[in-house]
Formats: sequence, structure tokens, C-alpha cells
Amino acid sequence: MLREATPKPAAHLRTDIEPLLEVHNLAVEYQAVEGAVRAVDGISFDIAPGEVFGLAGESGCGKSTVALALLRLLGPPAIITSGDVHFRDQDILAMSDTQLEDFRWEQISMVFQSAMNALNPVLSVGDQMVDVIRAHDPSRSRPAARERAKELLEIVGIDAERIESYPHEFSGGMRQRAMIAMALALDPPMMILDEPTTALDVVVQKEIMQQIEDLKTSLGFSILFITHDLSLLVEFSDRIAIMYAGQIVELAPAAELFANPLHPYTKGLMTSFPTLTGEKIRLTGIPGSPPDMSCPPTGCRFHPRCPKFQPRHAEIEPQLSEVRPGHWVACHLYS
Amino acid sequence: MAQAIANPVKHQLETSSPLLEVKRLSKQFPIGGLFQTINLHALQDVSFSVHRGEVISVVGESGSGKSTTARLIARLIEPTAGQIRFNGVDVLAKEPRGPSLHYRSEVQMVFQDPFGSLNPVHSIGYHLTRPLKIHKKTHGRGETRDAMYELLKTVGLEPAATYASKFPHQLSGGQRQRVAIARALAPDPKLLLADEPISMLDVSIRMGILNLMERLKHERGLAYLYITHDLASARYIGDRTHVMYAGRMVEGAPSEELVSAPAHPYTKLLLSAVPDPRAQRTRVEARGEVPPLVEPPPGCPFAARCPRVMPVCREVMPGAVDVAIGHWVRCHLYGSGEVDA
Repeated sequence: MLREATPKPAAHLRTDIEPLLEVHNLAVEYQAVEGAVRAVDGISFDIAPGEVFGLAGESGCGKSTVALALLRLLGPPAIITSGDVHFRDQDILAMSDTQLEDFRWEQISMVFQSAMNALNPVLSVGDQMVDVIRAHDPSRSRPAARERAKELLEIVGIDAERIESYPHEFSGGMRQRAMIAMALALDPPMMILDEPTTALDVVVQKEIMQQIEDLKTSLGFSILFITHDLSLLVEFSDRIAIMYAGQIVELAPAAELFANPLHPYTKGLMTSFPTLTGEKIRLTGIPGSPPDMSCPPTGCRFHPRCPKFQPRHAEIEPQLSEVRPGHWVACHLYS
Repeated sequence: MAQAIANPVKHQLETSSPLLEVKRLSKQFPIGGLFQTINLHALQDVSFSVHRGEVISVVGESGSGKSTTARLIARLIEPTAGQIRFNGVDVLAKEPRGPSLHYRSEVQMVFQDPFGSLNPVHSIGYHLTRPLKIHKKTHGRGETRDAMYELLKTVGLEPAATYASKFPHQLSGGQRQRVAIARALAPDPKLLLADEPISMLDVSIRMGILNLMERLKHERGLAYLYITHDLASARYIGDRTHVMYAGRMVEGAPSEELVSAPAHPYTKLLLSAVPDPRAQRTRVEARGEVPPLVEPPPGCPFAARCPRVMPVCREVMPGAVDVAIGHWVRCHLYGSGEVDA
């Protein structure tokens, strides 16, 4: 049974900074034969210039769909059914294909999940980077594009002469860095990173994250950082939004979220990560599992797994409201 | 709501004889070569033991040899050198042609991929009755079915009758992993080898699986070899933690001690790389990556990246040296040790 995406109050209103990206009430559906699945159900957020905005959630929560929607990379059976996405003063959802070609990679670029496996094994890394550069900036000659590719490899900490290497000659970490280099090719003001370190070992993960942070500081781009790893987000993000079943259930500055998680799901997530330091306490995780999005729970979608469940929680959908300064949560316990 | 775990650390005094003893285990894989065979040294000279009811966490990054260690102990592959002693018996000498049915009932394995390890065309019930029959744990259909329901209840899949008739694709990742654990419990094993059992599961259900494993340890006196790349979960569930690097075991200690007083430079590097919002943020300068395992150079494999490398490190692999009770390390900074650890 389809419901209209209910408009949520703007969680993004920041009167001090002009946002780079404004997302309002975005909804995305996957139309299947059996019916439509609303993977993203009316989410709103904004990202300021130079900000690292974290989007956390588990499988099926819709976070990757959000990223693809922002770059208009969703094809059938997925369609954007409602919402507003503005980048500076440009309306992304209204862009034509030609406008999108200019927009993508120049304004917003992306490092996809398992991007390091996306490299063509029969072409050198250099050839692929030149390809990307010239595809989005045809005015650049091949030699100029090659120079830029070498420059980019150095920026991410890879020797420029490796431009001749093939992907299999790079380690996993190096391939991921090459993908980040490609994403930086046109100096975009914003980058989307979708699980950039998930397949990597913890030491390589830390190196990559440090590299990304250094680059962000020197080049000044914003980042939409999507991952299931909340500890990673708390370390690197300025603000974090927690997604569950297609909706944002909590949004706050990283330190604030870590110190005062409000939503029972956020609290549950935090009891899912054992720590290296501090007293060893029994962690429980969250009983049950993320819902089937073809038939999500009524009312508050988290209610079947919530330790604070009350009958009316299953009837009425909670709305996002600002409970502490800059700290928004969608939960009946706080309304 | 959060309760401190009672007795989180058990120091193993080597008075009771170990359930499993691994001595100088090595595994090489021939990977071709024109005039002479080239070997990939997946595991070199690994020694450790597991006592009854003990959880040993083995931590390492990819290529460290941790999965190879589990496969050798499960006898899915045979070692190039070394000894495996189970209940005091030299298993490789006693059963040279492969693991006996008895050994396979004593040592069971749970794998990383909850979907890959279950057969999509068979019901959950079938997955559990099969090992019961193979290991002759029950007699007759009724007894087998009852034992199967008991297994499902043990791993928290109730009502058992409902789950028994389902198929793997109807279950979530966490539920499938519970089935994998139930299947491993069917022959009533003494040792469970868990190879990254939670890394492919959603974050919020990982702890449920780890807690189940811990409960089974208390209820059945099960010993575990818990293999992971995640130091934090290694600390959570492991009584002891061993660290592996490039096919070598480089440090072993009670889990709390390893995390609070690491000795090996690699362990320190690993610890500093784990995201921990509470800890002071440090930068990691790792200089390079894991060395190739193909025909490795002599000496310590971490020499190329070690911030405290000395000339001897590139020549000789250090033996194990005790730095505290139950805490050993293979590192020249602490002495060159006896190779026979």
C-alpha cells in the first residue's frame, strides 16, 4: 500500500551558512512487478561547503540509493518520485542529459562501493584516468590529460610513473586511491564516497581516510560519506544522519551524536561496536533484522525492534524534530 | 543496562593439557614456475595451543595466513610441515590419509559467507539432520527430528518446526549464520573454528551471533578459534588473542593485555588504525604494504615497514620470547628467542 511521502520539517535550516547541496523531501521508488518499493521515503538534509556529512545505516536503508539519486544515476526500475535537490542554485532533478554531463564530475563526483574492482583490467590505470578526464573535459588534449593524471596520482600518494601500471599491479589500497584520484580529476566542490574502505584492511583503511582528510583540507571539497561503520563516521564527519528503512531517524553533529544518541536505533547501533579501550561491557546489538522494504512496518518503522515500544508507535509515523540545538530525531519518545 | 562482564580475563596456567596444540605449522602452495616450482608461503612456523572452553582470537589482515591456519586445523588442507596434536594425539601421524569421521565430529568449522555455506536446494532441517545421521548421533527418524529441533532452539531459531521447513533464501544473513552454527554443533564438537563469522552480517546483528557463541562456550565447554581482522571483536570474545602477519604468528597474549600493552610494532600499528571515537586520534604512518608471500626474503616479514627495524631483522626471523606471564612476542626488540616456541 503506497503512502504519499509525508513532507518532513526542514532538518537543514542553517541561517548562517549558504549550503552547497540542499535535499528536500527526496523519495525514490523501485517499481517491481509485485508493486513499488519505496527505498527512500522523504528525506531532507543539506551539506555546507567544506563539510563532511556522514550518512549511516545498514543494508537496505536506502543510503546508496540517495547517493545515486543525487547524481541522477538511477535507471529503471528506480525512479525519483518526489523531492527537490539543489546544488548551489542549480535544480539537479530538472537537468537535461547534456546539462547532467557537464554537472557530473565537475560539480559532484563519486567513489562507488567496491570502486577498486571497477577498473578495467586490460587498460593501464593511466589510460583510464585520461579517459575520465577527457570524457568530462573534451577541451583537454591527450598530453594535457596525461599530465593531469600524473598530478592526480601524486596527490593521492602514488608515484606518477605508476601511470603505466595495470590494475592488477596495484594493491587494493592503491586501486582505491586511484579511484579517489579519478574523482578529484575536475576539482569538484563535492565528492560522494560510498563505503570507500569497506573491502580494505584496517591499516589501509586508516591511511586512505587520512589521505582523504588531508585532501579535503588542502582542496576544500565537501564530502557525503556513506557507510555502515558508525565508528568511522564519528571520527571523520562533521554531522551525521542515521538512516533506517528509507528515512532519516536522527541527525546531529558527530560529537553530539556520539555523546547523546537519542533514537533507540542509534543507541542500538552504538551497542553493536565492541571497543578496544574502556571497560568491557556486554553488548547486545539489536534483535530482529532490518525490515523488508516491500512491506515496511506501519507507524514508526523501527517499532518491531524497539525496546521502548508502545502500541501507538505502530500507528503514527514520528516526525523529525529538533530536540537539542542542531540535534534532530524522529521518535515518539521525544515528541 | 550495560553490565560489566564477570571475570573477563582468565590467565591460562599451563597445568591442564591443551585440547589442541599446533607446533611449527607451515603451508606452502606451489604456484607454478618454469624450471623450479615457485612456492607461496601462506603459513610459516606457527605454534599455539587452545584449551578446553577457551576462545582464542586470531587477528590479522588479508594474506596473514589466518584462514589457512583454520583450514589446516580442520584438515581441509594438509600442512607442508608441522604437527597438530588433538587431545594429546598426533593427528597427522595417526590419520595420515585425511581426517577421520571422529576427528571431524570433534573439530567443526563455521565460515564467513552465510549464504555460500548453505545449500540453496535443501531445507534448514535437512542441513541439520544430515550431520546427525553422518555422525550417527541419533537413531531413528523421531530421535533425529527431535535432536534437530533442539539444535534450532539452541541457536535461537524458534519455533523450530517453522524454521526446519524453510530454505536458506528465506532467512536473513544472521539467521543463516545461526543455522551454520547449529550445523557445526550437530556432531557435538569440542572445538569450533569460526572464520570471520560476522564480517558479512549487518552491524546490528553481529553482537547477537557473538553472544550466542559465548553462551555456547559456557553451556557446553566449547573451545573456539575465532578468526577475524577486527581487533575489537577479538578482544570482546577472545580469552587470548594472537596476531598474525604475512604468514607468521608474531604475538600472543590474554586479550586485555594485548590491547592495553602490545609488544610487537605491528600490533601497535593495528591498534592505532582501528577507529575508536573515544581514543586520542593518532596518525598512522605505515610505509608500504604487506610483503609478497611468494619466496619471501629471510628475516622478519615486517622489517620493511617497521619503524624500529634493526639490521638483524632482515636476516633472521626471531623466536618467541616471553614479555609477561602468558604474553609472548616474536621480535628482536625483545630478544631473539628460541625458535622452538
